[in-house]
Amino acid sequence: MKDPLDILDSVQKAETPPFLYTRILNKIQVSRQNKLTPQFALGFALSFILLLSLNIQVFKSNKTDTATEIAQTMNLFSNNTLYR
Amino acid sequence: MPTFEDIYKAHNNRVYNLALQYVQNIEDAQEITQDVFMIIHNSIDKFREASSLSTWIYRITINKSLDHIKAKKRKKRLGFLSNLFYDDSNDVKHENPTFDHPGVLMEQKEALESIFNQLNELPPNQRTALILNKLEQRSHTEIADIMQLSTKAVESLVQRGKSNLSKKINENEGK
Repeated sequence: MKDPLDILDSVQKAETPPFLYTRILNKIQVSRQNKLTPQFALGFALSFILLLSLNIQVFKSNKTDTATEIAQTMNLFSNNTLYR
Repeated sequence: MPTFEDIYKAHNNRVYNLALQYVQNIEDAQEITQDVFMIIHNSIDKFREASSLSTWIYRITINKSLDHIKAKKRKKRLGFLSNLFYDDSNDVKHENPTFDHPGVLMEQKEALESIFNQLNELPPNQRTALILNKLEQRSHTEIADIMQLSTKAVESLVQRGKSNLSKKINENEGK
């Protein structure tokens, strides 16, 4: 009895179109251009850290001033000493 | 170490044909071939000669082809859902790719299209074993190396794949 899968033996090999190699080279070129260079990544990370530390610094100094100011305007003690 | 161009010249037809057996569409097979060679270009330095270069390339092509099919199915599902909510009968973006296998002769197109449709419904490992064995004429030992399985497991996969495919073909003919 004939095997129904024998028809698969008749599938022939196809040739890759000649333009495909050029397309691949172009894709490689584009991906290289879009790639993040280590120098850029390092520069970006350093500026981010600098910006973050500056923000923390500003936040900390503002917080102390505001607390003292509020205590003074409300005639409150600005420290925790209850008995003099 | 061979250059990228040497690797391309030696393996491009193998990659393209293997991708064609999975997707049966020229455009999709070209897309997969491009992706496979991009991966080869970007990771050739990481290639360790624990297996042969052609085995490594076969593995990349199989994974890329299966990923491509999965992505297409996902897109199709999304297309179906969006069509449910936005009824636009003129929208042809999500239509099925046509059977466009350049290795199939015109007079056998209908019969082979039907067999490939049944083949596409097999579980991925049975499909891969059958494609490598029946269409790429690889031995069980070579398939075992590519699929990282034992030869016995490959023999069983090919056997089950053939029997399931024959069953599906007979069911389809009975309809």
